Amino acid sequence: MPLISMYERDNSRTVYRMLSDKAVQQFDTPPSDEIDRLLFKSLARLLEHYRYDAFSDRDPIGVLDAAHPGSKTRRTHASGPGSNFAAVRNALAAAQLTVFGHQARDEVVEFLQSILANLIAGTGSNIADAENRERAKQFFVAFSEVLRGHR
Amino acid sequence: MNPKQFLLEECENIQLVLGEMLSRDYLAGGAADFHHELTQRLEILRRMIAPIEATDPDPISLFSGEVSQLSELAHRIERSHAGEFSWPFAEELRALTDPLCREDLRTPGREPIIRILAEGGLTAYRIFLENDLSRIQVFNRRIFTIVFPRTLKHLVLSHAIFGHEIGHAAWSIPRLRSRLSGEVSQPLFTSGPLSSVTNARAWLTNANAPAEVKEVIAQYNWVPENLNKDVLESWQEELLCDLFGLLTFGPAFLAAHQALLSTVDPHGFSFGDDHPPYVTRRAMLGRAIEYLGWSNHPGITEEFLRSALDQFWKGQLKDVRITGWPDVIESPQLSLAIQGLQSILGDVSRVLFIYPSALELQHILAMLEAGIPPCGADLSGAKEPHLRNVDFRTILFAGWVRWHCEPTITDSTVHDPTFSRINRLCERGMLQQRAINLVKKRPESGL
Repeated sequence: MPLISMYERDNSRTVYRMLSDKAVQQFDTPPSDEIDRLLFKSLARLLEHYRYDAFSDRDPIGVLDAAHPGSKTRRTHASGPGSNFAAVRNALAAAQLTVFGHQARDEVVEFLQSILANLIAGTGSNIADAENRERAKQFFVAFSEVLRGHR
Repeated sequence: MNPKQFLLEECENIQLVLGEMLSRDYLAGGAADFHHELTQRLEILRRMIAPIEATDPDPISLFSGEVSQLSELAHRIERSHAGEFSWPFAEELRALTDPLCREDLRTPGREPIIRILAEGGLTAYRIFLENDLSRIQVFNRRIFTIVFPRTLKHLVLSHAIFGHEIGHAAWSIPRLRSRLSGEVSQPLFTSGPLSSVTNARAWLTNANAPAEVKEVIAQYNWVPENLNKDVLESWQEELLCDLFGLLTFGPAFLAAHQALLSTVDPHGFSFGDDHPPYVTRRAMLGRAIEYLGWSNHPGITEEFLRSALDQFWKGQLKDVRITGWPDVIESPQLSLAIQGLQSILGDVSRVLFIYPSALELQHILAMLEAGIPPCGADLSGAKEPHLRNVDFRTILFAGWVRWHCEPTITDSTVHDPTFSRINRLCERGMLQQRAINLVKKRPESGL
């Protein structure tokens, strides 16, 4: 028998607040090694899920796992069906509106991912890059602020 | 020792395990990638844990989950020793999954790392996807862990069921999920019992539902409110993955699906929050076979071959009820969904199953009949052998056909049609086919 039992937590808000705060710091002080740069890849991954509205906290159970009616899916273990990622999704949408207005989501995600790709590669140093980077930074500042408001 | 100290201590332990990992014999070609990825992840966690307050509950709770997950991943891989599963099959699975499940983040490191291990009992078939966005997810490449039941580890004929699990992997890639949702799921569930929560509840509790369903409902005190949006979406995903398995692995998927699922749920009417009743899944697959025309033996005129295939399809379709309560998806919906899926899979090299030619099937079945591992070898004795590429799914299909058909050679010293023997031949055929493919790739081979 396990030592302790508890309901699984939905940590998504904490996770992305922490990651976006760290990213904002690193927009000003670019990461010096590969490990720190991976932070940006994580955010690029989140944006990909946002673009296609494909958020998930569920690993499917095996194709042969004999389940019976009423057995709970992993998805419903957290804070309740349908509530996962609502805060993160809404915070991304709010940050998008604040920084990019009504620009299409696809365009916004592609823009942000291209900035993140430059940061991951350690490239991008001219004025236009600096302006774009500042805009991307503002997006993550806004994202973090909205997430903080949900605490 | 405070919680933060404990977490950092566990990071040290994981580092020791990672160090030992390199000295062991893991699946050829992937160990270095995997070690590099896990070492990076460990360092990221250390850097993120370092600045937190020693007892701050939110980050401590978050990072205890993260460290535990990394530890579990290392443990799983520690047990994925080469030789403890069918590595020719594993390599084929990797070759299918890799191009399909690449991330498109405008950065290097798009390919997933695919690891295999054998553990657990009959129902252990599954795939771990690293699909939980509520975790830190600061990593370079996603790791997909594919699990075979330990005792079935060399049963390649049953491993065709993995077509279903690759469907889940594809669903976890946002770009693909978007297409699968629009081009497959939407047509599939545009109407009928599984098109809405209300319809699904009415279907399960309908007075005309089979007695077996009513028994299941009574036994588990199930109430319609248990079927919510999450459950319906999960059922829809499972049906989509069944279709995905059929179109990626071909008839061998249907055979493995039937053999495994009818063993676990022989009545076929049980259901859970994750999976719809088996009879419904079978009905959809039966309709799909009708649409694909495979049971009419496309392009095959040879009487011997048609007879062997007849026996296979008779065995496969005998319990499929494409009518009445289990049959929830109409043919026009299914046709559109299959066309959509064919289009998606057709965009990725080698993923879509292509029905073999009569000559190919005949050749592979003849090798099986003679007790020779079926592959594209040239046994004619020609001075310059003509080696051919044979898709591993054709070998699996032929293996299942051979299992279903009546023996034509009765000499038991030559012919022993036990399932395990056919399976072993197929596994070895896949191994030899890999060698043939390697030789054919060499520019100087001229083959």
